[in-house]
Amino acid sequence: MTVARRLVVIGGGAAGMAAAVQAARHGMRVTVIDEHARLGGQYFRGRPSSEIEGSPRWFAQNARGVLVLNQSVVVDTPQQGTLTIWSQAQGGFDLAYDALVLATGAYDRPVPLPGWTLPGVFTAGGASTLAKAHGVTPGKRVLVAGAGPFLLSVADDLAAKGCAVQVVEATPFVTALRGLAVIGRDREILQQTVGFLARLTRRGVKLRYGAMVTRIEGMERVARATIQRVDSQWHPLPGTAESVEVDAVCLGFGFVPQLELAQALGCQISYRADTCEFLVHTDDALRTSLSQIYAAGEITGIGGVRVAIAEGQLAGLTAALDTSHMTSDQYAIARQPVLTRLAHLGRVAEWVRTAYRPRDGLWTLADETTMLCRCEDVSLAAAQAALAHNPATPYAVKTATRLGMGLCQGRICHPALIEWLRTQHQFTLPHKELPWRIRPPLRPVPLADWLVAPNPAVEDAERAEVL
Amino acid sequence: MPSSRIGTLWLGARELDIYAGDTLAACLLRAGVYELRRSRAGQLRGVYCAIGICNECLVTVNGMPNVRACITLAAPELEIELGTPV
Repeated sequence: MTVARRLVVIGGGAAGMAAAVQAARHGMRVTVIDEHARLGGQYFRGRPSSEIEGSPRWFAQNARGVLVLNQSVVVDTPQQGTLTIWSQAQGGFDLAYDALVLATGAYDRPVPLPGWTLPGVFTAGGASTLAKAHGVTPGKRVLVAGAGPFLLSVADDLAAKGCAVQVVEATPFVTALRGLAVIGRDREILQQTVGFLARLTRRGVKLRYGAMVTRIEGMERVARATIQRVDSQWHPLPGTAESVEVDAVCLGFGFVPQLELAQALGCQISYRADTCEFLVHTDDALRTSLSQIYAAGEITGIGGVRVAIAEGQLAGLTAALDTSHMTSDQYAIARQPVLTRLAHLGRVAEWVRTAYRPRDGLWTLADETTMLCRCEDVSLAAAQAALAHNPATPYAVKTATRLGMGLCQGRICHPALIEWLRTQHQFTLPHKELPWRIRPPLRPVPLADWLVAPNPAVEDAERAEVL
Repeated sequence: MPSSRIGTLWLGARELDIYAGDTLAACLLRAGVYELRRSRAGQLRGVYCAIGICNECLVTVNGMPNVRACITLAAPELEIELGTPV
């Protein structure tokens, strides 16, 4: 090999950092594009100095020569091998790549229910970030509601900061019990779970299973919430409503991947009906359906930080192999421990995403006045009216109501709309792509910075901080 | 955990403390400011996702509208206005 090839990594979370380090170790010129002011993704926000492999501190010590562009986003995909980037420091510019790793991560699955737009309602992930990174709690009396083991983590973060916390988990207690068989073989997760339960018990945090928050109320801010028992499909059971006085609610019904860039590039995307998740289709070396493009972390299936780190390593290695920075012999040796680890970690990840997948009852919580689209204030009634004379598709709702056309660009409303159409209106999902188009700009950016011919001097980026 | 106070920013005539590493959203919430703006239909909205996805926490910073409070770092002497017109 004579010339170092350029790897661009989109997303500076656990997967992206791991990919960058692996590729750089094998001689690639690596640039990491990250939207936030600091690397680390969602998991490491608030614990940047964690010593574990894949953390920002580990990255700083191991990412020699890697260029990091913070507060930067991909705006457009003008042609194969080129991205248009907008960065807070430098405005718009085009960036060429020989290989591209997508590690764009995930966010809490939005679930429209009455009152979910009130100030004081947070995503579970958001509340956790605020507590860990800034010592800020969402309120004093906090209801953490949703499904999945992440609720315990959030409750632990908030209780540690002095909040009076109660947890409402939608799945029945027997789900958690069955999980012990899987978790029991994963020492790390077992210890973590036991730790959560011990601390939550000591702090008097009440855990309730087989119930959901079905309504949130308050004048200007959250004042109370309704909790109801639910059946196995998460349909609220009549006559079980109970009101609790809280000043904040954290909603955590799992996570949805950020697939806009993968879709804009044209990567094949699949929908897994058994877990209700979209994911980027990859081969077992994490190549997407398009040459030069790889995917790692939550966008290949929600799996948590440990899976993300291992997948990042694998994607970085495969990119190095495909650009002739490694021989296939070197690759075979380097990837073996990563594959072994992924096989081990995959069992818990697969159990979590299956056991805690959203059930159909979740999409019956919204009432007529509940906003499905928070940006454009499109209510459930408006969405229903749009379907009166049209086939039940996302576009029937979008063209009639502007749903999904606001500043979040559908990131919040689209995942919920799709599940609502699928479960309530027999909408059939397409096989190889998201059921809506992605159009540039992929993020809202100042119009002038995007329309003015992007700065062709890619090397401008080189002036940014090199670690 | 906020370690050291690094200054204050302005919310109208009100001074809010900034701790190292704070975002605008962290400063506002710590000071008990939850209602940040009104939606198209006039509903009150505040920080929801806190990670830059939902755009509910838009504020005006030094005259620049539509700034996401949750991923923008706080700095001394910034002037924040609520009620950003989207």
